[in-house]
Amino acid sequence: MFSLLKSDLYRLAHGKMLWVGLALMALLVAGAAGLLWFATTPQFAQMVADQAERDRQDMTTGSYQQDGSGQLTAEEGAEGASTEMPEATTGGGFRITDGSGASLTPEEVSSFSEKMLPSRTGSYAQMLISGGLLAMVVSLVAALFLASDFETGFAKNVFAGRSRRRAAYHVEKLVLCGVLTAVFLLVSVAATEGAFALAGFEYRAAETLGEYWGWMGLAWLSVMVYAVATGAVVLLSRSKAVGIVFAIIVASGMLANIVVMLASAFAPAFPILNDAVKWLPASGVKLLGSGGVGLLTSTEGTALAGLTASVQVALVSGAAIAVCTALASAVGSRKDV
Amino acid sequence: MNVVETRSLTKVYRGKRAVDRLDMRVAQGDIYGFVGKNGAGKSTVMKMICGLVTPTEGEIALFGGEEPAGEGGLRIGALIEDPGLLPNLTATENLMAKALASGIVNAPDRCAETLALVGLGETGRKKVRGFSLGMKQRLGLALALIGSPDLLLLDEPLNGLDPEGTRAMRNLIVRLNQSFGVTIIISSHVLDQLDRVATRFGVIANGRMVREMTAEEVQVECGDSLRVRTTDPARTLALLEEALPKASLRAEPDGALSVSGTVDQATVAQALRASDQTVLELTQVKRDIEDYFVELMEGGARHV
Repeated sequence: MFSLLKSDLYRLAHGKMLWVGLALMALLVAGAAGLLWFATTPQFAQMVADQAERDRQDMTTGSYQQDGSGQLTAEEGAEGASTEMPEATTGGGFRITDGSGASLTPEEVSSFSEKMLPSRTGSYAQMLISGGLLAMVVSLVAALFLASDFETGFAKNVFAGRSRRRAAYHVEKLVLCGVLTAVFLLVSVAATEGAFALAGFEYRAAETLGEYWGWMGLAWLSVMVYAVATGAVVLLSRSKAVGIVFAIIVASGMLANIVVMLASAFAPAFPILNDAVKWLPASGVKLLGSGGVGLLTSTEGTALAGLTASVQVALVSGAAIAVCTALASAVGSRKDV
Repeated sequence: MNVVETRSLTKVYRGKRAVDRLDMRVAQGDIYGFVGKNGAGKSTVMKMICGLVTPTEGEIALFGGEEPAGEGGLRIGALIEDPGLLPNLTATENLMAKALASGIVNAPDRCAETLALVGLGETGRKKVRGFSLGMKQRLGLALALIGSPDLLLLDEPLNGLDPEGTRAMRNLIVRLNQSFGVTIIISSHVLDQLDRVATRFGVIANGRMVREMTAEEVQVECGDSLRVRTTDPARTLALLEEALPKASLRAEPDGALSVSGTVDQATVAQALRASDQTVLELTQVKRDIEDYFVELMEGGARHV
């Protein structure tokens, strides 16, 4: 199995797929960091204020038309301005209000301009994990690479004269998915760090080494679930198209969202569904969303009382990876090449 | 020692017998020409021999029943259907990928040697997607050879090659057999090319082995033969069987008899005249090897 892994790593290093995938990931991270940076600039704050002013004026015009008389009463004007729309302040600035009626002062607006992030792992979670970006990119690369063995016929060269290697071949491919996940995670983290450092962001909370690497390990496991599941699907179907569709629908979290939505809809009739969805790999991803601070001891949002978030993530991810590996090696190795 | 011996080898795909109780024997040092029409089951048999396909029934004994030894004991090389190349890599990188996967020691040197052997030593950084069909076939052969196999399975290796490429491939096959002692099973539709290299033949039709024979036997049967037509074919057949015990007799669909082997026209005429047979035709026929194999593949020949 080690020789098969060496061969695959050689192919990845000498081909384009890995480098294109990593470059794409770095670009996406840089783009997201750029958007976040733009949201902290005075220009963005001005854009928000201008838009709020335009909305206020539109609302005022709308009230005139609804009234029919063309007159706006003092009460109506005051009410509309104070509850929903920005209004002029005595200092000539704006009071920005949200839909709930809470108003934002210029000081509060300026607080948005602070280049502060909650924590390192929190920022990684928001950039890479919660939206399914990393899982989808890794799964797509895994799908394309694994499918290429069957599309080009290279798998025949590996198997010829070595029928007993089939199980080892299938297990090795899933180990490779784990290696790919680790490489993409580390490169993405480095890209995130670099992008935020360039944009001048700082972290509000410092994490211990245990919290940091504990979160990194769990993030690796959580993302690996999707890469391994995609790999297993490709090995069983031997189809690039099936692998790509699976990566997009499952690794991006689309399927999990649908499942959670259905579970919520049927929960009044079947209360067990509320607890059942917490055992989905997607729930593990959600638990990682707040970063590593307190993750190792937190029991919030877990499926069982007393079970820490980290244990749940490890359990669910480990079980999912084991099932995928067993399925791929047992069923896949029986298929003819 | 038989390098390959199959007994009642059968493969069923969705209820259809692609290979049907096939018995095959390939001795060490043979270049075994495996002949059959498209869909006759040649590729399936080769895939079963090298472990790509699991037989439904039957047995395959390789190297006299010896077990392959560990990672380094790669004793079978195969080029079946297509070469299985990675188009975005160079020839060397393709070979390295296979060599690393096979756990071959000193892989870079071994790759360089193998590329030189198949005549692709100078391809440099050129990606495989830019290779000609002949170069791809040769690289496929290099992939099959990288583990220094004792048995080489080549499925239609001459397909799509120009005359020069065909000759180069043919010479390489003979060299591998004679210089390196590699036993080779080769299937091809180019029967006259196969006839130039094969030492033994196996003919498969509808998944069943029709006949196995040596190259000498093929030459004898394809050599000059006599076509005999009389008013009583059954009696003529019995008479000639008795009079010419070393000859090979075959009944033709039109009632004539084909007499081949070491026999001359005068002897046959004398035997027929002695038994008072009315001879309608007695002519000498030169057979084409292609016609001979086509006849066998179609199952039209009835051996007596």
